[in-house]
Amino acid sequence: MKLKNIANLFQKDLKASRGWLIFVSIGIVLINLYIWLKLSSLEIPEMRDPLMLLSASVIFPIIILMFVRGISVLKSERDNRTLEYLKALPVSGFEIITSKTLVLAIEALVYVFFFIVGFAINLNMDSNISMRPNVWSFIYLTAFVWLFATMGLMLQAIGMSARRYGKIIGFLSFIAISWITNKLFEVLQPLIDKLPSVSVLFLSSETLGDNEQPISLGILILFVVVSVIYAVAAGAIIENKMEV
Amino acid sequence: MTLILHDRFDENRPIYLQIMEMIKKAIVRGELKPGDRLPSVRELAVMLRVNPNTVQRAYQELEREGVTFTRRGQGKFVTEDVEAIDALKKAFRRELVEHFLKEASETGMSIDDVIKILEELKDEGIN
Amino acid sequence: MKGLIEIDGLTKRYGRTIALGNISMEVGEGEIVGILGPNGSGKSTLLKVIAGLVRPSSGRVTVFGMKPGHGVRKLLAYMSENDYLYRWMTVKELVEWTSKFHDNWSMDKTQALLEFFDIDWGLKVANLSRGMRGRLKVALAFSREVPLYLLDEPLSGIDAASRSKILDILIREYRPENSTILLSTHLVMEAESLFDRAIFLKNGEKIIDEAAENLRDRYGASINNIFIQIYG
Repeated sequence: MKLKNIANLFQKDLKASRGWLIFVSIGIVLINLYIWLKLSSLEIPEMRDPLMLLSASVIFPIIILMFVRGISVLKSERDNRTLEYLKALPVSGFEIITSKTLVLAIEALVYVFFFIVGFAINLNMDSNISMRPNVWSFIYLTAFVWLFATMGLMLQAIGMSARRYGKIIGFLSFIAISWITNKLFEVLQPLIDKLPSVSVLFLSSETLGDNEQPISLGILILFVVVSVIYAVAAGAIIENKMEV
Repeated sequence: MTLILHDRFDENRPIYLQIMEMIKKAIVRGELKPGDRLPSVRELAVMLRVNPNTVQRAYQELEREGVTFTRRGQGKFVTEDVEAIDALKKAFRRELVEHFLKEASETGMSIDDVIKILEELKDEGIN
Repeated sequence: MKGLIEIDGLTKRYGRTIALGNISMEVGEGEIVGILGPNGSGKSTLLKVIAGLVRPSSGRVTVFGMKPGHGVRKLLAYMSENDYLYRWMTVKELVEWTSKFHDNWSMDKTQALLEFFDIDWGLKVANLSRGMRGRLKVALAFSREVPLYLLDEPLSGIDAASRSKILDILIREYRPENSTILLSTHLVMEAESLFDRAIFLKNGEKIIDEAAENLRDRYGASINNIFIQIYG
């Protein structure tokens, strides 16, 4: 792995993601703005809850989007035949994938940023509750979303390297990998519990008082480790199995 | 130096032979004079759009036949040996006539028929 | 110097299809070798194996004495037959970005090549005509000063003027003392005066591998005519 190669690839991949970054960020901001405008015009406080829920559930499309982005960053290179251009450069599959996972991490961070800030602003419209997200909340959620992106990346790599039945193989791998990942989390749970925790965000309300949300650092480490495993697997496939 | 260049080669025959013929023809016509420098291998390859190795081979053969010679570091030159050039001209003319006669005989003409026509043409003042 | 490329018993299978069957060949320094055959005869696969983009199913392949891979790719310039450039980049962006990966890139050469090819640096790749993209691919390959160039179908699918310019560049950029060119094509007539040697592939097998002038001499025919006879 050469840093120079990764930096050059990263420069290109980030530029190629520019459109997505801008488009999706604007989308998240617009949804939150819409909710905010609705909230400001409400006269019956009970009507707030569904809107809050809507604001919170923006994270789900972001998760799905990141999974799809993981797939599409590789798929678009293949469909435009530029994967051959990449492979003909003196770079390794690991360098190609490292750059892509870094760009996906940036996308995840940006989307999560707009999501959390929007959600916090909307939630704080209610004078009864206040939410103060800290740095950890951004890091945790980004790592979680990034996990789905690297999973998509690896599944696409598997599907692409198969000469036939790529879609079916990709889908079966999806089921297998979801199951394995789930098992991994179960098995490692005791270990995770032993690790120190950090508070992810502060919630305070009139009824509950100040409330911290502690989450084990082990969870974060696990998210990152699994993502890295996915990325390395994708890199190994591009390097050793993929033919263009 | 002016070299009349073919537009295309007859690729049914080895190209190096055709390059040799081309240069010999230029010498016979006087387009290349004794002591003239030949274009470099590169120049000629680009001009004719052929592989430089092919030009190189043609040049080697020409040198072997004594039509050209090499001055170290300066390139290839047309021989200054007048006898060699005369021999080249002679051979070239002979080949031309032989070629012509071969075609004539293929149409069923004898040499006498050819001579007869040539004399007629001479009388008509065609040179 | 031993062969630059040494191939021994190379076979490439895709499932039951045989793309290349038991190919053995050697390419020395300073040759222009024409890899000839109709579409589907295995020309592209052969070049891709040498470039390390496709792995052999069996057989031994060494390039510069190494197994093909990204180590070898530092020393060779590969040009695909596909339209594989980043279309969203401008010519300038593509050139500058690509050059960063290579320590043997000559920007002076790029400048000269793009000027000869009449390619505007400021244009987006997507806005170039097919012929212009074909020229750009060749310019990118020859911007690198490497001992080996692998050009897959540089002449097909583009206009006559572009083909003519590309052939000119091939002759100009070729240096018998330190560059070797493997060029695949099914447009034999236009390119044949460039070849030192012609390798004919048919259904993935090598059927002829001989010096171009020997072939002309022996058959009394141009390589194009031999081609037509074999595949016609």
